[in-house]
Amino acid sequence: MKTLKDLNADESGIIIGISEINDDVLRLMSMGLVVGAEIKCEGLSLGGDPKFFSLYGSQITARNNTLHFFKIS
Amino acid sequence: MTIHPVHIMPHAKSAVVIGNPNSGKSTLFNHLTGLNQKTANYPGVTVEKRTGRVFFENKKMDLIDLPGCYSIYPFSEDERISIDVIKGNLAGLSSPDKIIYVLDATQIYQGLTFLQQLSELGIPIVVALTMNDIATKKGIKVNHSLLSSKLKLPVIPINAKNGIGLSSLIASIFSSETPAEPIFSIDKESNHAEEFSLRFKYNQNLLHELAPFEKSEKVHISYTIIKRLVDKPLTSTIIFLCAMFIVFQAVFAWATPLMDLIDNGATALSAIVSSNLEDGALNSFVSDGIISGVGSVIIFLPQILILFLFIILMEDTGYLSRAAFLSDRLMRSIGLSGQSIIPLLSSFACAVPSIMATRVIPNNRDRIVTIMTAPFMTCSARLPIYALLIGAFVPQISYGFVNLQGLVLFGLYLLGIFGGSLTAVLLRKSLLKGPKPNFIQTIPEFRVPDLKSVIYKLYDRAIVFLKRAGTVILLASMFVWFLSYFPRSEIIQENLVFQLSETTDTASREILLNNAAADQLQQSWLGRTGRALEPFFAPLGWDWRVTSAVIAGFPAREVVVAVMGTIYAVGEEAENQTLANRLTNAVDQDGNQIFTLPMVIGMLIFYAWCLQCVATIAIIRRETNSWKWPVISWVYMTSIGYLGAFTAFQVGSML
Ligand SMILES: Nc1nc2c(ncn2[C@@H]2O[C@H](COP(=O)(O)OP(=O)(O)O)[C@@H](O)[C@H]2O)c(=O)[nH]1
Repeated sequence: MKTLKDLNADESGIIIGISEINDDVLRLMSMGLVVGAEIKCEGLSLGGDPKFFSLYGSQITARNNTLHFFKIS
Repeated sequence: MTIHPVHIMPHAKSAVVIGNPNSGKSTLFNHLTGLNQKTANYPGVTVEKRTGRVFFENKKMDLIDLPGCYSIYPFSEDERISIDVIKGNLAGLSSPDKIIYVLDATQIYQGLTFLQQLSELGIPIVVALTMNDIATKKGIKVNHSLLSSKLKLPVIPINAKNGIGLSSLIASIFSSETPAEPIFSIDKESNHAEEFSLRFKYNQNLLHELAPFEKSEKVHISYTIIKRLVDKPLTSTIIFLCAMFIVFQAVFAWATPLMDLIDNGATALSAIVSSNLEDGALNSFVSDGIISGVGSVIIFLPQILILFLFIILMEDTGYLSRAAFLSDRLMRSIGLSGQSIIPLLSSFACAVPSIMATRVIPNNRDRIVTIMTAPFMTCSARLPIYALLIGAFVPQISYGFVNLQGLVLFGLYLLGIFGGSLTAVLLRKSLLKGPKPNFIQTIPEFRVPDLKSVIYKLYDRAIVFLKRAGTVILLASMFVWFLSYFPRSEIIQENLVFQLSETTDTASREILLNNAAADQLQQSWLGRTGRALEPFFAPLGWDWRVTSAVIAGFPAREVVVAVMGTIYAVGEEAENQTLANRLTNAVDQDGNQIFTLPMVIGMLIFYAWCLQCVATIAIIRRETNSWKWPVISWVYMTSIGYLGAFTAFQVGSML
């Protein structure tokens, strides 16, 4: 199953499920990372973690250890 | 007798300015209130409260600028305050009469969720739609009348920077009396995760109807180029390093003339006071205690302001979040996240504002690790000591481009960073064990900063610094003055008067005065303490004079230079020598040199690591709300400073 962690720069996906809810996941949800959202990976830090995404005009960063809870298609 | 009718002024209504972080709240607030604003503290909490007034047709309204939030469920200290203010949960502050909701036209999807939640509180809301110019550049077109009818709220497009829309916004704020209707109601039973999913689903649909991305015009080329350069890992890392280099260059090179100016000003003022007041305790108190004390604080203001100017510019252009993003990897290796980079950078000027800047870090554990790490960074107060010791004891040799003195100074910066990193790692493994911090943050669009906002922010920091550090350091230097002035020895004074009457030669009179001052200091409370504690510091190679100076520096480290200046102003040649020379020539009773290389290295290590700053201790106490962390921090830093100096002296002396 692909997650947000697996997106590379310039790749996009749609969130189809969230496998665990914790504080960090909730924080990301409060910023709009919910099921159904279209998201695009805009950039990686050196080494690929953290990542930097855009969704509907907003740009959000997070580390892979949280991103892997977001399943995408 | 005429009786004047009494006008009963109705209590001014209040409104809050709220929205997502970076949506343009402060810019709007600054332009609405102008100079009618002030910063205070919320009772019992550490967050600053910014309030101001707006006027409209003989009416006035109090505005409160609140830290940004994404939802009504707070994640950080800052956000908690915002929500408490809006809900009227803070003692002495009822909930606001109106809400000005700042909505970024480029981030409608993200901004609407919080607005949905606020619309359920039954408070009148006016939406200020910002960043319309950026939206146009990005090819986004928002139909604000459609948005307004969907939200059932007034939506006013504005650009605070050039005043567009501000008068309609003000008119709308003063006239809106009807409480907002819920924009979108959700099932009361749903948990937060379900609630977010439902609310953002609504936003997606609304966005679909507004179709802001569809009428896309050409996206600006300059925007694309900047984006290309800064959002690629390699170029962005190089840009980041260059930016840091320029910042530090500026802090040290540009500040020097201003600092000299302040220094000369304080010296001149002190001389004027000194010559106009009668000799004695009052004279010394005002010129040595108060003026030098205040001067020793204000002298760091230029460096602090220049550093903050850069930080504010980087913040307001949207660059700082990218820098945080880039440094996250590095910070992770010491158990912190990119969010700590901003406070830690500020720490190179002064730990006090830097510790206040940790409030944006949501997790309390991460925040305390950052607070404990910050005082290790080489702040500007350490520089006078470094400059003195390096100037006196490190030879001026150059290897090609590299200058040995500069290299040693650089090494001391690294030593501070190393001490801080080690502390962060140790804390993460012991007292502050816990899950790894995350790095969740939005990255704002690039934009041109607003001059007015930059000036206000800079002014704010300057005032905060002067107030907090100034009062504490001022009290401390008055205390040190007291310790070093009393008790006065009559015998020394009488001897001095007698000897002065014997000679008319100016040079010898100066020597007599200096010797007497040093003798007085030796038998003052400070000198006595230095002597009493001498055995404790002897293993570091310090005599009673160094010990006294270091003790005097405990409230504010830079004081040590001034005290050494007095203590070592003894002897025949003292008058014609710089302090550095006097230190080199200083000997103990047996004629051995005191400032040997191992002792000096030890002292530099001591100053790199030791926490000699009451202002920092006070701010740690305030920000952590307990005495635990300031005590731990002080004991820990003093101990490792001592151990470092001890090791350097003992090992160095054996070699
Ligand atoms: N281009 C543009 N920039 C704006 C506008 N409003 C604010 N800004 C800039 O956006 C940045 C962040 O604004 P600020 O007021 O600090 O945001 P806050 O975090 O919501 O208080 C600053 O650099 C402002 O100058 C606007 O309408 N257009």
